[in-house]
Amino acid sequence: MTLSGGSIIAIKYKGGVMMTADTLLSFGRMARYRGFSRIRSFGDNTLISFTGDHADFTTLMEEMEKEIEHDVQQDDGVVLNASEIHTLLTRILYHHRSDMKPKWTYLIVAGSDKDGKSFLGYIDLYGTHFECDYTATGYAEDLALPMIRREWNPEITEDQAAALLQKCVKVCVARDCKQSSDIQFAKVSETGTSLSRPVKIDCDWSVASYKEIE
Amino acid sequence: MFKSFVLPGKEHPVKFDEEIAYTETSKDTPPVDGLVQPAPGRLHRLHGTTTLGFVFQHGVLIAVDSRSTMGQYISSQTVKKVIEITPRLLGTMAGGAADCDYWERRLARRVRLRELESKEEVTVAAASRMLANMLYYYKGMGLSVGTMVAGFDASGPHLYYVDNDGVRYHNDRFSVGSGSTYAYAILDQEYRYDLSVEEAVTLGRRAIYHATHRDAMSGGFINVYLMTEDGWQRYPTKDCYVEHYGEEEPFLE
Amino acid sequence: MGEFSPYVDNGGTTLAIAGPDFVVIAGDTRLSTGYSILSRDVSKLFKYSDSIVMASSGMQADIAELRKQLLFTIEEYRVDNERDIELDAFYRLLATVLYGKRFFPYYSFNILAGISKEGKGVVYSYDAIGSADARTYGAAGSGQELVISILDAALKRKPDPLSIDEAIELGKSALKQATEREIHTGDSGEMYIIRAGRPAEYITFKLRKD
Repeated sequence: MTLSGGSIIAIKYKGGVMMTADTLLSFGRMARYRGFSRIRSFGDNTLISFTGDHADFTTLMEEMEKEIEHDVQQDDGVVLNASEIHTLLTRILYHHRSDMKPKWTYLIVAGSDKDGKSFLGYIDLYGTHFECDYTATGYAEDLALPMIRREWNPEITEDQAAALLQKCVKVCVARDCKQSSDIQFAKVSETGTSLSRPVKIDCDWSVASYKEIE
Repeated sequence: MFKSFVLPGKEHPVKFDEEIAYTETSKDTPPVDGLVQPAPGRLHRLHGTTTLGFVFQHGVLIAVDSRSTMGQYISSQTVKKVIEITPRLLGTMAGGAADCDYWERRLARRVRLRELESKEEVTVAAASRMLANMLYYYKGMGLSVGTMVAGFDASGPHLYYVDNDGVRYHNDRFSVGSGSTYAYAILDQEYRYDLSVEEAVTLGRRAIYHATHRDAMSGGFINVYLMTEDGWQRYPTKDCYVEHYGEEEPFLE
Repeated sequence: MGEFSPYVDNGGTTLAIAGPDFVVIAGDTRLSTGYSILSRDVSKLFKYSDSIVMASSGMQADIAELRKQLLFTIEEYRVDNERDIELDAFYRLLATVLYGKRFFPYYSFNILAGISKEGKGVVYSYDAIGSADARTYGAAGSGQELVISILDAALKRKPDPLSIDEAIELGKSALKQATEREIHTGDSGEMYIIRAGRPAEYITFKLRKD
């Protein structure tokens, strides 16, 4: 058994991409480490976050850093954008699966180009990959996606996006036993990436208090 | 052209091949742990077939069916199971369609290259040996090939049986495939060395037709080739429907 | 945890219908694993040129890799032979690339549609390891059995030649009917209409999203 991370939800909004993940690393059914950031900012304009095996994700990020270091040493001013990082990660994940040693992760890559075009992509341990307007991994795939599908449109503002994610996360906290209520929000727009400090999702569990059944 | 075959990491090729090719796991099976999907079946095409060949006074006659199956599903009724290697060499197809197709094409290339090099025709014995050697190299790796190499060279007409075990037999008649027993029943009873061409063609067709009637994995059309000193020639393709009913199958609508 | 299986079936249905001087090739755009739909707009069609289009269903990651390897090999062909690849060579090349992974196959089921040197519409249908044959129509993927029955009923032994409008309508209709009865097929359909000496025309159409 290894450390693993839970759901991620990510949506595009007018001008950028926003994503959310809880800050828990589980060890089986044990809530092993709290306050761990599962969203990483990569370069100036890319966010990567994972669901699945933490050790595998760390290894992947080390592989990616080698690639970036190689790029830096070239010193040609070329910087990978989110779409290129997405492709590179896809190739790495597909390579490992073909080696029969998969990196057990589901990745979401978000980014924004200088011209304001946003990117959101999904990759899984098999190398399955695609771009999308909104996506979720883990339990949120079942819990959050239907809500997003109902409310999302390409013109959604940053505030609306934040409110929508907040709503989705609340459902996840209520229904997914491995979801922690300490949530991190992150966004990426043409001005760059920003990660929030973990915030507590306000949950009212009083409705669930013990009552004598008449 | 690729340099070598790609193998899955650590896995034994045959075990892996059997798992992915023949396990009839349904695509509707629920995912295990919500993560892994079972290894899906239906990768290989063509396992049942009926092919036959015999040597007689005028040369070698080859007759084959044309059905290709993937498990229960008939993936084609119009497969060419006779592979034209050179004008005086033919190969037949039984077992895995891709395996037969690829290795016999590769044989054709080697035979052609050797002929250009030595300015001499490659004998049927040599060609069939080349194929048997190539297959022997991959013995135990899960290839599925059951082929007859038919040809005419300076020493006359010849018929060889070669398969994925690397064996190579020389004889006056063979039948290969899931319907071969039915074909042999007809072939053994009526085969004579002094058959006329017309009798030989009829016998080939009849043996294949009866095999397609009894073997569910054989069917479609019957293709006949005659190999003589002047090279092979193809006889008209016959629909099994016509062979049975004596009339053309009507348009479905 | 059991032994890792490197394969996933991402579902989807593809088909192609050839006529005397044209060919149409179509597919749905759903991407699924098990019972969940991952995406509703991932293309299964791959247009190599105005006269060669390939449709692939099976495992999306393998298909992406296959396309990359194929493009790489075609570029080698172009450099070696100093000319663009034509349909008959493309057909053999795809078979060889697939067979190159005979012992670790690409989980992909391909249909190749194009115009031959003689200007005729041709469809090639492949298995995962590169056995292929030419036909006048074909279907592949999770709705293969449903679609092929529809095409058989409409086209086998059809007395009069097929018109291009008939082919387009038949292709759309067959995909719609597969969507009706097969859970891995749906969302939207796309089709290339390929005619001799003309740019390939691309159309999309709606399929059920449930």
